[in-house]
Amino acid sequence: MTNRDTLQHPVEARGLVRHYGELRAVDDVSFSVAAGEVFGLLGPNGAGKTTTLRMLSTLIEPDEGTATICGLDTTGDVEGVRRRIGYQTGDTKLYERLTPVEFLRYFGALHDMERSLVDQRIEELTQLLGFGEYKDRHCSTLSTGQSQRVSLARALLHDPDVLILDEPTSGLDIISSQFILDFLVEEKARGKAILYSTHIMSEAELLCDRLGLLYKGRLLHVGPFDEVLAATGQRSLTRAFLHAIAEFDEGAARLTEGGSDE
Amino acid sequence: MSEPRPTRPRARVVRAIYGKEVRETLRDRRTLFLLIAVPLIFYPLLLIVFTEVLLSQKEKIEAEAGTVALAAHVPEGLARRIRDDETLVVATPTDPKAALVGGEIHAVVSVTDDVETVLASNGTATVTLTFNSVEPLSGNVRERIEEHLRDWKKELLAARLTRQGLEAPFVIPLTLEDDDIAPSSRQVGSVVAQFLPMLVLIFMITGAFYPAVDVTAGEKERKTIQTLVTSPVRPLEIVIGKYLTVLTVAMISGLMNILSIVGIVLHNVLNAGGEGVDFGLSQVSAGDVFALIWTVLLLGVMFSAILMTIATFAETPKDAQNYLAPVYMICLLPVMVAQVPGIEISQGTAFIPVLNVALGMKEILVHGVVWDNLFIVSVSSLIVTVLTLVLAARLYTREELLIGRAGARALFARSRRRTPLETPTIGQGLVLLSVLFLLLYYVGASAQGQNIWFGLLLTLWVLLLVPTLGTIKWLKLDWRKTLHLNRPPPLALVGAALLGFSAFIWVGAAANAFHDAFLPVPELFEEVMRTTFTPPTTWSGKLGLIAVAALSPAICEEVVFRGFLLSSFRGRTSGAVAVVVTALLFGLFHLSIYRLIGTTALGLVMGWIVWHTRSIWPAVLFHFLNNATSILSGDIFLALGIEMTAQEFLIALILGAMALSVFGFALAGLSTRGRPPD
Repeated sequence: MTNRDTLQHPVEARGLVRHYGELRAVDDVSFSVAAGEVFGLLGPNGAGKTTTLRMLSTLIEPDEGTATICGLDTTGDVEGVRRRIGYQTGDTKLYERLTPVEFLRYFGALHDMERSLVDQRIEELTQLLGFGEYKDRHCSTLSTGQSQRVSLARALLHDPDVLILDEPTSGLDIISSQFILDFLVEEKARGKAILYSTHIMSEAELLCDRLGLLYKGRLLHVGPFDEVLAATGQRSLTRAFLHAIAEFDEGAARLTEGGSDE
Repeated sequence: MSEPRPTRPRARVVRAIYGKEVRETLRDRRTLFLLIAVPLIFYPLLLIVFTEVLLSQKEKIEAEAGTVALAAHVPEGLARRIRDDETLVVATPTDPKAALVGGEIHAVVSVTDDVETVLASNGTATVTLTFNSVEPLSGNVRERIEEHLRDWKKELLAARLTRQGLEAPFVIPLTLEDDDIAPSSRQVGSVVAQFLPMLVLIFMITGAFYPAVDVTAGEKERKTIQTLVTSPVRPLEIVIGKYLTVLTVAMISGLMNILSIVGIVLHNVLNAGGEGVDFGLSQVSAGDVFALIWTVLLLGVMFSAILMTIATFAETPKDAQNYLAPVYMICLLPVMVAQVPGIEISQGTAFIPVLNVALGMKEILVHGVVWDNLFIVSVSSLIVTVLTLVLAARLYTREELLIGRAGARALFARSRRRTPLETPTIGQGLVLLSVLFLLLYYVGASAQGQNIWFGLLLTLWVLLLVPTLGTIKWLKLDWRKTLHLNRPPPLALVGAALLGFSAFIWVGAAANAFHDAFLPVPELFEEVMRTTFTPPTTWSGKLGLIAVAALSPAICEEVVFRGFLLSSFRGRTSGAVAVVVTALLFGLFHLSIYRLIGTTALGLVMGWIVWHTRSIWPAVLFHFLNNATSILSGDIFLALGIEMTAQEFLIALILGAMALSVFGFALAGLSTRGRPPD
């Protein structure tokens, strides 16, 4: 891979496999995310979305295959990868007894950032994400939507090239979800590569430039929204997804039958 | 291709983690309550109120008059005494037993019908005192009557003796006078030693408990641990930052509680009007006080590490509390065992965690500090601490533990696809060394106690060498790089040989001078060292001793220290740090404060020569010659016809040895010129 490819595709996953005991939770998954692109990983619960994102964000190691972030191997230069990603999940809580500002300063220090730069970034992100009103209140008093804005500020604090977001809108009301989606569109325009997992099809339609349909650990279709619809011959993403699942299960069943006939 | 992951903790990041954890902990009401409210308000109130109530209750009872019934035939001698007592009222109920049960009277005095006859015939009469022990006043009345009985008995005895024409000493052929030679401070000390370790232990565990759970399992429950470990933070930084937090709280808790106890004791003493009450601590030396505080600190240092590491295994704070509950038991058991008379600190007990500290405290208070024992206790406690923390850091690299339930298995699970390293990491070096330390003193020391030569061989070849080689194989390390198995430059061997013949002389002289000035070596210790390493007279005996005490250490200790341990520093720290740290550990490994300086100095020489030449062989040669020459030095001087005690000769010897060593250093230093670096 040339340097230019790396620059254009900050996220590269090639043949990722991960087992949990007997279960192949992720099975030969390959995709890439370009700078200034939102790639949506779609799938029902248990499809392997979280496992895939965890492999990309160095939390767990793949059994087979490789993943790179900005050209750095996720099992090799772990620290380098962590400097370049902002990882955020929907169920992450904040430190209850800190205020959002203290919380963000803490992560600034963990990223070895200068204090003045940290404070400047906090000021910017407070404006962008609109949490100035409660930035000095203890996090335990914040609502889910308010917490999620602060979490997102934390993921963006060190201005990473890559954002890895695992169902960041789960548990949020429509207003908060929409705010975050709009915000991510702006971040995309600023050139970030965004990897976004969700099981909410409408979100994916709105936000993602390209999609990967993940089911039982397998990537069924990868491509822009229109291509996925065309490939499945369906008119909505939900139908396209259900169609792909049915096709996959049918294929698997046929395989099993074929196997038992022999 | 992939570079070894950086593991060295950065002070700035550790400070950030520590600062954040302390801030969060101090904002936790439960912790504040335990740290401040309980020791400074709750305990004193409880104890002061309790003692006040107890005291006033006692005074009240003593002032109250008691009613006594005298049964028939009570002799006048006793009856008069009771009637004359202003605090006793004599009553005559119809049924004395029932009146006693009913609480109308407080005691009944009865005698046998023939009491007067028995007394007259010099027999033994029986007086029965019926009372109700549940009733505080009844018990107190009994004490008052008993006093009158003793008084009366004395009078009766005196009368009998007079009748027989005898003096009082006739019935007292012997008296016993106690003469305890233990200074009074030590007597108090031994009482204090009974409960001090237990108390300190409980306070520290109580203080450390919540933060230990909160910074580990609490973070997992809130899932903030995922954000933490996806930041560019190193496991050791997380563990050190969190550990320092737990330690800080444990220390504050211990301090607060001790202050509280001192306050309560002072309050009670002042209340009792006790001027100049002697706690017996005035005779405890400054050294003892230092040793005592140091021991208490050790306890805090060790427990904070143990508690936090155990809590790290838990997934939720609730789990963590379940895990930690047995730790109370496990910790308190050795402390109680320490109180058993006769159990004292020894090489065996000095290595049992907790027990050694409890015994150390007892020893300081009862006998005064023994520096060599304090040294062993300190080293072993710090080893346990470091080992525990390294394990905790390992847990922060285990994905099983970060994303779900894992348990102890995760500790031993290997990374799924790690590129094997060529040389061990510093963490691996320290863990191996800690394990070897423990093996050495649990197994090695007792084996050496049974049979010194067999024990030494077992220690060196089986307990040190085998685990080290096994670890290299298990970790799939590069044998040549890990053990520095490179061909040595010939000049380095010559230099090492010169040093081997000479260094021990001036190093030993310097160490002796230091000890004479600051830390005198006990005679017993010198005696043991001398007799153990004095060569036998036969040639085969001499060869045997050389094989055990020179050749074996030269191979086995070098593999451990200048092989595995030193190579773990290569490429990760500067040469100076690597050489100094390994030399210090080598010195500590000899587990005696009286040998620390000499062995560390020799460790510096060997570390430097291996770091510089990248070959272990000069160090092996040096180590062998050093030990062999020092063992045989007596024989050598004898053969040369030199009187060893001559002052002029000693000075000449030391100066000559130094000159030889300088030459040796120069040769070894120059030996790598013109060689490509590895």
